[in-house]
Amino acid sequence: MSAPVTRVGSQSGTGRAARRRRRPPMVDGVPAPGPVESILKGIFLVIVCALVVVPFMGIISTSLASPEEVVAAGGFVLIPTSIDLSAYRSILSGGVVTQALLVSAFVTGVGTLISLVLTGLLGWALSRRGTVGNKPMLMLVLVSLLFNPGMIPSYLVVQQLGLLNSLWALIIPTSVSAFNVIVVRSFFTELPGELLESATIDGASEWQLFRHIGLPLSKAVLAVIGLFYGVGYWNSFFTALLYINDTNKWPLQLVLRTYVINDVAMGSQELAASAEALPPQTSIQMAILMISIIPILIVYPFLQRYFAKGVLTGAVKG
Amino acid sequence: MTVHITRRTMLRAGLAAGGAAVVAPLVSSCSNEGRGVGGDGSGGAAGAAVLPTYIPYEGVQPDLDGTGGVADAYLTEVTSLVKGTDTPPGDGQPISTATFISTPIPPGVSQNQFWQELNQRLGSPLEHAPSTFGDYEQKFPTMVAGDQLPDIWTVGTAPQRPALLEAKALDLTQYLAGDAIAAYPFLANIPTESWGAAVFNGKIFGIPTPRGGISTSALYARDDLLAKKGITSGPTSFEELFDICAEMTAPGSNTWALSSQPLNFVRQMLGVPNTWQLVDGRLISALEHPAQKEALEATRRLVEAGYVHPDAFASESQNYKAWFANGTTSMALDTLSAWPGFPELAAGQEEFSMTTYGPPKFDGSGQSAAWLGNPTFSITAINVKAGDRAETLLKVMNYFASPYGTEEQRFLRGGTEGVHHTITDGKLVLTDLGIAETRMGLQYIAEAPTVLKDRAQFDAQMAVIPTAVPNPAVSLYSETDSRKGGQLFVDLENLEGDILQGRRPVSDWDQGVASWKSGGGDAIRDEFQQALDTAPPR
Repeated sequence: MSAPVTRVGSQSGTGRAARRRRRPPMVDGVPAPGPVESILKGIFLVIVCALVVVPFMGIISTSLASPEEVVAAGGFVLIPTSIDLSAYRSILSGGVVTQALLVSAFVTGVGTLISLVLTGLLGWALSRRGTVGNKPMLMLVLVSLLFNPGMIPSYLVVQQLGLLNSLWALIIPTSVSAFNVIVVRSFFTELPGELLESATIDGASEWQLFRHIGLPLSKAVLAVIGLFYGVGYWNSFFTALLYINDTNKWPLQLVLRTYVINDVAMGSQELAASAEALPPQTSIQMAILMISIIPILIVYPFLQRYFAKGVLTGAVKG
Repeated sequence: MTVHITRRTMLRAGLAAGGAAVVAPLVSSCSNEGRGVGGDGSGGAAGAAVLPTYIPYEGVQPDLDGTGGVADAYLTEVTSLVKGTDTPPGDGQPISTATFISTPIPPGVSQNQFWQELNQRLGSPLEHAPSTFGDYEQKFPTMVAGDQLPDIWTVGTAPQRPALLEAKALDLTQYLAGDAIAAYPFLANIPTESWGAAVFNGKIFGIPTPRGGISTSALYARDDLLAKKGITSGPTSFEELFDICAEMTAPGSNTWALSSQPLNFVRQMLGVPNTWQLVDGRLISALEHPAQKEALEATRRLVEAGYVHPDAFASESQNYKAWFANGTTSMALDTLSAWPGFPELAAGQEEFSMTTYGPPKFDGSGQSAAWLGNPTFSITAINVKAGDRAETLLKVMNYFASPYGTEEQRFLRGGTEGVHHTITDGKLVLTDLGIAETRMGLQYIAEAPTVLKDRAQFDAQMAVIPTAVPNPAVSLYSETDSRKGGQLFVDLENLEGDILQGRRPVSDWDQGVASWKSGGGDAIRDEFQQALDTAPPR
C-alpha cells in the first residue's frame, strides 16, 4: 500500500493538507491579526502610549517654556513657542543646587555601597544554619519590620551618636533595610546546598563561600537591592531636614523642595514678605522634576537587565 | 534545619517585642498631669502691664500715611537713608538661629557675599538654619525634644505652648515690658496688637512678626476684563455679584468668573462674625451664626451655576493666582498681601489691570465689614539657656526689625547696591545674585511693620481695613484648639465642600456644627472665654 501523495503547491482539495493550507497564518501559536484588528490594536497602543508620553513631554516642554507662556497656558505647555532656559538658570545659579547635587551624589554612592555590603553580609549570615545568634538576629530583623520607632526617638539616637549636622547621619541610620535583608537571605537560602558542601569539603572557608559562590550568583538580586537603596538615598530629604542644619550639606531633594512647596505651604500671607522675589513658577517646578529624575534615568538602563530577574527572587520556589 | 520565615515566626517575634513597646506609652499617656486648660494669651490683668509701650518710628516720613490699621506707603525708594544703629549689635560670639524661609534656600556663608557682609554688620557670625514653612513644623518638635534649640528660634506649632515657652524660652518681660522697650526702639515700633500673641502667663516670651491688616481678605477683580463687558464697579449686593459672575462666565471660551468658591466673602456680606463674636462679654462661635446656612445656599448657587472654575475644589492657591493672572478667571478671593504677586504673574500682559472689592451687604443696603486678618504671623523666642546674652540677642533682633528708610533695612532687604540690587525708576530691583543670596528668611527673626509700595494697593487697603472687624480671640490661646483645632477645621472644610458641590444638603450644616461643638469646639470656646475673662479689653 503506497503512502498518500501530498501535492506541493496545490490550492484546492478537502483533505487535511487542504485544511492546513486554508488555515490563517499563526504567530506564536495564535492566529495572526487581520488588518482591521491590527489597526484597532495600533490605535489602542497609540492612546496608551500617549497617556504616558504626553505628560512627560509636557514636563520637559513646560520646563523649557518661559514663565509668561506657562502662565498664559494655564500651567501646562505641550509645545513651547521658544526655548527659555531661565527656569534652569534660576535653579542652577548661586551654586546651591550644584553643591546639593554633589552632596546627593556622595550620599547615594557611598550609602548604596555601604548598604549593599552590610545587607549582603547580614543576608548571607542569616541564611547559614548553625550561625551563632542566627535565630535571635533574625527575630530582631523581623521585629524592625513591624515597628517604627518614630521621628523623635530616631533623632535622639542620631544626636547621641554625635552625627547631627554630619552627612553620615544621612547614611548610617538607614543603611540596612530589613526588607532587603529578608530578600537577600531568601535568595541565599535557595542556593544548592550541595554546591556549598562540596566547596566546604574542598577546604573553602565561610568567607570564600560567600566571596566565590554567593556573591557571583547573587548579582541580579544585589543589583535590584542596590537600585532600591540608590533610589532611596537619592530621593531622601526628611532625614536631612531633621539632622542637618548647615544648608551646604543639604541634599538635592531638600534644596529643590524649597522651590516647590513654599508657595503652597505659606500661602498669600507671606507673599508680601518676599514681594521683590518672584514666587516659584510652574516652569521652575518642571525644571526641578527634570533635574531630580535625570540621574535615575541615566543609571536605570544599566541595571534593567537585572531588574526583572532580581525582582522575582524568592517569589517562585523550585 | 533552615529557619523559614513563616507567619507564625513573624507573629511570635512581633508579640515578644511589641508587648512592652505598646503598653508603656499607653500607661504614661493616661495621665492628664501638666496639660493646660488653656493658656492666657494676653497675660491676664498683669498682661496689660507687661505689654510694651508702642513707640512708632518717625525717622522717615511716608508718602501716604496709613490709618485704621493700614500700612504706610512709600511710592518710591527713599533716597536719603537714615542710620538706624550706631554700633554693631553683636558681641563677637556666634549667634545661632532657626526660622522659616519662604523662598529657596540661599548659598551657605562661605559662598554668600551678602551673608558675609551681614556678619560684619552684626558684629557676630550668624549661624542661620532656615527651614521651609511646612518642614519647620516637622523639625521643631525634634529640636525641642533633643534640646537642640538655637539662641533665637521661631516658635513652631506645638501643644502646651505656655508650658513649652516657660521651659524653653527666656522671659523677656524685664527687658521689654512697658517703657523698658525704649532701649530697643525698632522693637518698640511693633504695634501693640501684635504683642498679645507673645504674652503667656503674664510674661513676654518672644518678639512678634507683625502683619497689621494685610492678611485681611478681599475680592480681587480684573477690571480690564470686566470693563470689556461694561462692568465698571464692584457688586453692591449678592444678586449683583451673581449677575456679574454670569456675565463673566463662558465655559466654551474656558473662562469663568471665580477662581475659587467665595464662601467667606458671602459670609462677610451677611455679617457673619470673624471666627468669634462677643455678645455681652460671652464668646459665640461664628459657626453658630444664623446666617451660615444662607451663606452656604448662596455660594452653592454660584457653584451650581458653573461660575466657579471647575478645578477650584481640587486646586491650590497658586492655581487660583495663575488663573486670575492669565484671565481664565476674572475674580479671585485672596488676602491683601497677595497684591504685589499678581502683576508679577501677569508680566507680559499689557492690558492687565486689577482692583479689589470689599464685601457689600447681601441685600444691597450698603457696605459690609470685612474680617480683619491676624495682626501677628509668628513669634520668635530667645533660648532660655542664652539668658546671659539676652541684651545682645535683643539688640540683634532690634537690628533685624530696622524700619523702612534706614540703612540697615535697605541692606537687609536688598544687600549691597550695585551687587545685590539696583534702584531703577525709584524701585529697588534685585539682581540675580541678590535674589540668590539675600533671601535668607531673616524677616522671621524680627521684622518692622509692613510698608506698601503701590498707591493702588494703599487705596485698596484703605477701602477695606479701617472698617474690618477683628477676631476677639485672635491673641488668645486654647490648648484644645492647638491640639484638635486643625482636625476640627478640616472636618468642617470638607463639609463645606460637600455642601457647595451639592453632595450634601445645606441642612447638614447643623449636624456638622454639633459635631464640632462636641468634638472640641465647646472646650475651645470655654478656654478662650477663660482667657478673655482674665484679659483686659483692647
